[in-house]
Amino acid sequence: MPDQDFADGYLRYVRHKLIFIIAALAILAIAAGISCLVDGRPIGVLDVYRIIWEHLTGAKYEYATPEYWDDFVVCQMRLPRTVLAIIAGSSLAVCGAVMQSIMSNPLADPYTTGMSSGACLGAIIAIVMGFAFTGPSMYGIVGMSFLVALIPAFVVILVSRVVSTSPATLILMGTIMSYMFGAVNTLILVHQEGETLSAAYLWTIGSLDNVVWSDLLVPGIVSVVGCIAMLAMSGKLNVMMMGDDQARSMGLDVDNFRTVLLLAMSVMVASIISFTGILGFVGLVAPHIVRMAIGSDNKYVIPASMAFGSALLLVTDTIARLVVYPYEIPVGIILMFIGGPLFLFVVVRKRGYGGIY
Amino acid sequence: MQVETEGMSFSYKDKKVLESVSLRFGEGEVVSIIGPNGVGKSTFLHCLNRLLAPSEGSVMVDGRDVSEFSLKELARIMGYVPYSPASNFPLSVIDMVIMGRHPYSRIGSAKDDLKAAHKILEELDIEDLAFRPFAELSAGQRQKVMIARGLVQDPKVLLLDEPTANLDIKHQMEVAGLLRDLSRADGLSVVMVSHELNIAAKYSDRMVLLCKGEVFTAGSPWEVLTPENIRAVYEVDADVADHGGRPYVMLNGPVRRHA
Repeated sequence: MPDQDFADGYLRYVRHKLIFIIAALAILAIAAGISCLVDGRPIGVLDVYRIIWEHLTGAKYEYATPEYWDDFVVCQMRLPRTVLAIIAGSSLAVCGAVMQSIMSNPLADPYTTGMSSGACLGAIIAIVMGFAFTGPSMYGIVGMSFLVALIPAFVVILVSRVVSTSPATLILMGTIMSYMFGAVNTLILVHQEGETLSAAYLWTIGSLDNVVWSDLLVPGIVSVVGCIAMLAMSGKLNVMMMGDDQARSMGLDVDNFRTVLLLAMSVMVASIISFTGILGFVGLVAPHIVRMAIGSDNKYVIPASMAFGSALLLVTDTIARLVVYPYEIPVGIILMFIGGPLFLFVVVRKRGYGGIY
Repeated sequence: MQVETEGMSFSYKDKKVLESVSLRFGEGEVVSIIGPNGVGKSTFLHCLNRLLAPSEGSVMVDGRDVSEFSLKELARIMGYVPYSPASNFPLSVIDMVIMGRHPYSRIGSAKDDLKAAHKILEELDIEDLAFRPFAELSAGQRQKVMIARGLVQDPKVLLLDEPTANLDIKHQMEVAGLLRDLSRADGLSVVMVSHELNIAAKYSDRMVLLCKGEVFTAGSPWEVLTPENIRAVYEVDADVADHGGRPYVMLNGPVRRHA
């Protein structure tokens, strides 16, 4: 096959991956617009995009005019929640894709490795200790989340360095740690009362409620930096998918690479979970659906998972707000309802690939 | 490039797997490591490319201990083709082969990596598989893809763990013949673990017979594949015939032990 024919074939091969990413971004944009429709004041979907665009381009409105209130409702009340869903969805989906690669196991994600449960336990300890959800005190919750999320990360690092173990065992350990963190959570919660109990309990379910722009600074920066860093390491992540021995034989320092990534993901997961509580299935389902559609090259899987994970969280959050409107169900519950069957579909729909594919 | 082991031993906890193995592999030769199951053949390969660290002795590449090489440096010298390749993830052939460029990867190297992968696929005559899912290939095709991944590392030595396992006889000959041709054409040293005695005899320059972690004998296929050696190591009665100038092993049956 001449070079040009091969290059053309490669372009065709890559094109469908790019089309998928663009389609996922389009779905994300539509889902973001729809998520800004919910709550009280009726504003059309196209108006939402117009209002956001005018806000971004610096439009100013006279106080108490209809335009002022439209801008206020969309950009100050609804958009922070939408942006949090995008940040959380993309971060958790990327962490899922990366964990699956570095553990060479399609079942790895922040939840099955115990990291989410650890971060959640940290947040609950901080809440019980009296840290508030807003202002500088919020960093106490983030910090505590990070510290406890480090426990499963360190256990995985230690076990994979000291004992030669299979990736399946690492997942099993993560699941066991999740149960143990869950037990400690429950132990703490049964001794709490009133507002502290309900606030802490909500953390175990996951919700995107009550968010303002200032809350998004930490998760936003961590998520953007983290996702870009993971994308830059996509070549190494591909090599890791083949397992430790093959990765080493291709020149990758497996132990150090895994350690750095697990620490980075502890920060990413903690910065999300400390604001939202546990959001299961995003890190598991999004990368799987992406891989079914475009294969496993992380150069494409990571951006596609970011878009798809965000869209998934936005759609489920919108459903959570609409099902019993004007009340809302925590998004974590809807994620379990939708994510579970979706993952089952992925598992059952084998396509001749290895593992669960 | 010369690879040499000197008094190399390896233990899994208290269990000694390799015992004082001293061997030398020269440029452009095909060497088959043979022996019954569990004698340390794969462990030997893993020690050569630092997947395992010998408990005693050393592995030298051109007189330099492998532990002094960075992993990337070593990957540019030694390619490794594992036993029974499989992946838990849906990967295409081109994804799989390009991974082998990792030791050379840098910012902006994607085009060069693609070119290198195309060249190897062309050389192995499997370029028509480039964009197909790896998992949908036959066992023989998969093995060729894995060899392509090892070769795209542009190594001086290629280590293969049972490259002809699970292949039908046509594919066994194709793969072994391919390795010999590559060795002749490019001066590539090939060290492969094999259970296929006749395939190994037909395509190897030298053979190493391992028994209980030690080198029982090493030399030309005629020196290694004698009825006595096969009986002593495999506990199998066999006749060895001349077939096109190469030894050909005909198995008679397990050695009968009398009380």
